[in-house]
Amino acid sequence: MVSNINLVAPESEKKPLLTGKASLALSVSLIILALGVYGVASYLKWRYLSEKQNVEAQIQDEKSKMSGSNYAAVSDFQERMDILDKVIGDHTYWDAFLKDFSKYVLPEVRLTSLSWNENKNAMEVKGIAPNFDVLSREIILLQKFSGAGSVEFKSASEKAAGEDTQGGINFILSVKVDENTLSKGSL
Amino acid sequence: MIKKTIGIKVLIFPLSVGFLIVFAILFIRPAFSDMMAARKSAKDGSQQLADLESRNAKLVAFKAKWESMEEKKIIEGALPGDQGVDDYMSELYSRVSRSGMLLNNFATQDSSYNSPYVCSVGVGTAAGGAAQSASGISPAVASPPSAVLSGTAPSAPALCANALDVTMSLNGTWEQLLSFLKYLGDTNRIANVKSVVVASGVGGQQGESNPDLLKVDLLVQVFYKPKSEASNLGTISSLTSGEGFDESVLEKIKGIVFTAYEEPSVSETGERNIFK
Repeated sequence: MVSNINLVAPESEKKPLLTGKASLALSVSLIILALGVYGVASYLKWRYLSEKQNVEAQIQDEKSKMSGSNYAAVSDFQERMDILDKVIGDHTYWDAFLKDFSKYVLPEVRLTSLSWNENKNAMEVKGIAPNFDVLSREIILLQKFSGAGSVEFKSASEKAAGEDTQGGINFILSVKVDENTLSKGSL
Repeated sequence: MIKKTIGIKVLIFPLSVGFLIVFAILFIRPAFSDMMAARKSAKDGSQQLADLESRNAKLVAFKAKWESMEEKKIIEGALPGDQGVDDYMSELYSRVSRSGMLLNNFATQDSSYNSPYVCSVGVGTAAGGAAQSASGISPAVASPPSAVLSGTAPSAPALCANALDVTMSLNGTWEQLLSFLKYLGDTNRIANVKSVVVASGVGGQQGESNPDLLKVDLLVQVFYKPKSEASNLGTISSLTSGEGFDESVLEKIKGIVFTAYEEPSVSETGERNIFK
């Protein structure tokens, strides 16, 4: 009894490209390869994470070295210098300023008071001038003073001479002080 | 039947390829990107560690330099760790004496002048904040409260100093005033003048009016900064990222503290007593 009823002879029948065994082997190989790639990636990830943890521990160690009391004195010194740098920006030299200011006060003029406050940065000058002519010349002279930003006339009133007091024109001026001039040690 | 069996076997391959694709999408790809992320962060961490190690090495050098610096005392004197005014008062009193002026009154209180480098009000108003005054002053008479002497200064945030207003009332001649102001500009503890009032025609000690005598009211601001117990990472970072301590600031402070005293030369170049 002939079981093969195909007309094509078995020798001339085309062999399949992938046999069952080969297909199985290839499939298993592919799965092993995939698992291998996954395994390698996971291993490397674990290794890098462990390296990162190690590095982070070292970073914390270095940071604690820096932020602890070890360098507190150095940090404190630097902070003091930073603050002082700003503080000395506001340091003023009143001796030099007043000496220079005095050059711009006419010999006939006598001051009775002088006051300055940093908040206003204006110097209120009260004094006595023999007459209005001298007072006007005084104002003009003060306007030439490099340490004065501006000179503002406030008031003037005539004062009669007393037994011990000098008569003349009592005046009040407001002189805006130039901060740069004030912060210079020598003019 | 035999052909069918072979077909199922062959079908395993496309099935496994499909499985591979799904597996790659679900597991391999995330694992790979996680690995790459971990690699990047490990690399970044290593760079950060190298940077920190180099900063720490710099700090060791800065600390060694700082330990040998003579300017430490100048800085501590210019900006002390507590508000104690006894040293400043002693220095001021000796300068008042040298200038020939008479100190009538001396008082301190928490500063009312705000500057960007002064800690906000409330931070520096603890120990010794109340005004203290003394007449016929001497350092022993006007000693500050015990809290100040014990150094229990309030803590201050970084990069701001606490400030005290020191008011003083003095009598003296024009020349003495200039001499005192010259000294005042060069004190070891940095003091910034905030207000000046000079008036003439002041009564003398016996009550008679002396035309040469001037009454001077001065308000100066002095500063203090409590010592830091731990390093400030910001400060350390800026210190190590640069070339170290700013020499120019040191020079400026030395310029103030070490200024050679010169007798004021009144009237030689046109200056004169404007109150006479």
